[in-house]
Amino acid sequence: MPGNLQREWWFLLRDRQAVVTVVATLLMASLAVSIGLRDVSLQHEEIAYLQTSTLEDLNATLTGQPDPGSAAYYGFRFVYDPPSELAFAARGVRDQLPWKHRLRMLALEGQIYEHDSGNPELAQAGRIDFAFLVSVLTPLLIILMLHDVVGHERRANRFDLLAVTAGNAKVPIRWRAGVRLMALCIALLVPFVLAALWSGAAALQVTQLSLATIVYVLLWGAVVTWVARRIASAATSATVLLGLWVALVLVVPLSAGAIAEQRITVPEGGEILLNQREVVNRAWDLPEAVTMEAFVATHPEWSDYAETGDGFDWKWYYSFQQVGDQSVSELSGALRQGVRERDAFMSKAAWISPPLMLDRVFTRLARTDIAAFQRYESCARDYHEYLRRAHYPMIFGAEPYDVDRLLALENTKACL
Amino acid sequence: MTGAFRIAVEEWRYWSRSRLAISATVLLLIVILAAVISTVSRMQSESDARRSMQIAAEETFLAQPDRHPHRMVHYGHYVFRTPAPLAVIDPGVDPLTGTVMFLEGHRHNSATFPAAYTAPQVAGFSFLTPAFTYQVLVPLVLIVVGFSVFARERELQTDTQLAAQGVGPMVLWLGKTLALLGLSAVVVLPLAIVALLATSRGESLGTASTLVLAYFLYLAVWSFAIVGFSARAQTAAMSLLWCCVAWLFVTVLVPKLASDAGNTLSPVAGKLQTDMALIEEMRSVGDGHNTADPAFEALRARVLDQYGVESVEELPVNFRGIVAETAEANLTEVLNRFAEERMHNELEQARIARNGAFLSPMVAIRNASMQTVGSDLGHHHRFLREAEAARYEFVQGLNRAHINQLSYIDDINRNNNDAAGMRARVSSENWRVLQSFDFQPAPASDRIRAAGFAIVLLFLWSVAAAWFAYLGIRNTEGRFHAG
Repeated sequence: MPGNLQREWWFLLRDRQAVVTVVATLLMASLAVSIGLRDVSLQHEEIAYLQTSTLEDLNATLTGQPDPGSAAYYGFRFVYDPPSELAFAARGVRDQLPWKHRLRMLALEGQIYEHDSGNPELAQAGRIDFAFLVSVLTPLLIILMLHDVVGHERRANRFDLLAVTAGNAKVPIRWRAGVRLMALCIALLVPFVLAALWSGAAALQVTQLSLATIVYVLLWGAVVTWVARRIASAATSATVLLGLWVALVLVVPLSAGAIAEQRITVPEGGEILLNQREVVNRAWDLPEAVTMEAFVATHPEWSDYAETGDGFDWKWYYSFQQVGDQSVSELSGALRQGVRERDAFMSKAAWISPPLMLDRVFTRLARTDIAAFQRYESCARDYHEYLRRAHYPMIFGAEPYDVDRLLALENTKACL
Repeated sequence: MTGAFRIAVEEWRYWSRSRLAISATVLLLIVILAAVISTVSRMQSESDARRSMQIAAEETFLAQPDRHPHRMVHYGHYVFRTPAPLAVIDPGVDPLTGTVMFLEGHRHNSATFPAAYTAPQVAGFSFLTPAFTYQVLVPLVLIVVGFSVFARERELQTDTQLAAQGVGPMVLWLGKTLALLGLSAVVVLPLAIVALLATSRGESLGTASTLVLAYFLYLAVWSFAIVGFSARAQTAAMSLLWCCVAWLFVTVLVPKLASDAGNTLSPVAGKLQTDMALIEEMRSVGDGHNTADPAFEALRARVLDQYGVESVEELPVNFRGIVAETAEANLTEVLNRFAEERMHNELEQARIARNGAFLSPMVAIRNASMQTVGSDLGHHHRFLREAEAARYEFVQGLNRAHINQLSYIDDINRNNNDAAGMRARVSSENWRVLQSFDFQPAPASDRIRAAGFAIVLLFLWSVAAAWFAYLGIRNTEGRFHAG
């Protein structure tokens, strides 16, 4: 058997088209992971900058604020989702959905949807990352390499000879295909594993993704050789395989996405914003007691402090901010629920589209999928709640106003 | 010409007998229809929803009761970006940019709730739109149908027979190209129909036909190129291989690498990051809520001097309003400077990526398409600028009411008790400073002019592809005539 292996490697090296394909794969993989690594390091730099500048800004703003209400009004905090060690390999939804916020004590629903996205025209074309290279481009490369693996030997009148020599018609083709797929896997995985080591990814996850890549490559390899054995004409087999590729890479995921959007409706974002603003602003025209009652209903611990004085009172101000959030919590919950359901639908659709499945595996392990985004968002919500709980005692007068204690809070928060 | 025409007809007859060509074309038409129907229904319902929310937002603003004018500055207003009529063909950046923006005093909020916010995560390619179908999928079908136009004749050695009958390379080239161009024309029909329908929603006929023409030019590039590859390749299989490599390069690799190049060569700092620098600079402008802010010392002296009085209480106008108006003007200047810089940088990035059009006709059609439709980055910026103009106008309108209709004494005493609060209000008549907002793409002529460069490039691409095909045919088929 080592003889087979050696011989096939030798054949591979003499097949110019195969060598070009493997080298091109190696180059694309190296490019994809290095662009990814650079991107991740830029994100880390941005986070570091925002951490220090938020703290500096907070120090400068809080000192000199006369009361806890103004301190809460002017003090911005920073919450973010740092890129994972594998984020370089799969950008996922991070280009499109927010992963960092500067928050203050005002109603959260007015702030959480702000997003600091990149250039939309560039995002529209999409960018190359390792997950895309493996799930979308690699099958094409496999088709180009193997669609004619049987026909070529047949036309050269070698096929029968090979089959007889090996004692089984399938064996020599398996060797040929196997070696080429092996070369392709090496070209993909060497840059990936090196980059993963460099960025300090967990060995288990790197192994999982490498195995997933190998299984995926073998699966496509098996399908391509299966078709190649049955269709003698290279052009016809290539066309059939291209059709399969278009169906699995494009038609299934995009139609599933369109169906998910049609079937699972989500509230209009604009509704949430308009409703929230109405509730917040109506408070100004209502007796203060109405707002305080609604507030105390969900925060009974402050019922003893809910009495407001004549004129403007910060505790009333923050109460209606809280009540504004409460008034749309159902809508915004429905929005998140809808997004989750759409994602669940896509995870089912992934069973009939291996490229989609592989992409989901990559983005899940890289923590760049919808689930990771929702985890971040709920963590940002918790953080805002934490800020509220830290400020309420001072705002409601249960504890004295103390800037130092506000500065000692967790003023930047990494959501992992 | 009749010879070329007969060759084209024969090619069609051959396709109509080929199961492969028929099934590929039928499948494609189904995908095109699905893309058209889903995008048209999505964009029209989006457009209607946003328009009705825009109207609702304006009505609620005008229906607000008498209030302190500055309360209305923070009550704020929402503007919605309604997509252009042709966006049913190419939504462009629409799904990725926020569709609604909150306008209030002293702040530039970002546009929120892009469709991508709730879009399912699909791997690789994000939206099934007619534009995507025509830019990426249709060329693939043209390849499947047309890769063998020449190679087949060569494999069956019918090309020598044609040559023997005196069919010259020029005629052969013309005939085979005509066959593929005819197919392209048929495939473009659904697009033309949708474009025509968009004219009933207020689009000009000029832009609609420019768009259809641009797509046809793009498919013509492919038709020429496929004939070229087919003529040059030794076997049909090689022709298919070359066509597929070209397709991969043109529709997948170059567009994506171009956007990576834009990001890498000209990085733009995130909004949060530039906001930090903005905050730093805004401190020097002064807080418009606080008349005691030292930034307004000079203003106070000037206003007192202008009215010839000793103290702000004696002024016939409300000094707090004047401070709010001046602070808003100064602050807006800073905000706009940062916003303009950001837009400039984003456009610079996009310009780098758009240069991919020199390497890939797909990038050229992408640019032409978004610019003609009015769904490119420039139009997103147009929305941001118009929203800012609307913001500044109503905020300053409210500030003028603050200056002229609310007495300074009532104003500073507003927090004393509820009755004082009631006195510190102005009539809701003043809310009429709000103009109705209706986002429209740039005039048709501007859009066509903007797309002009990309369309010229597409034309050059098609000339180059035609030349590539003609040379290929002359070199391979011409030998029979030479001999």
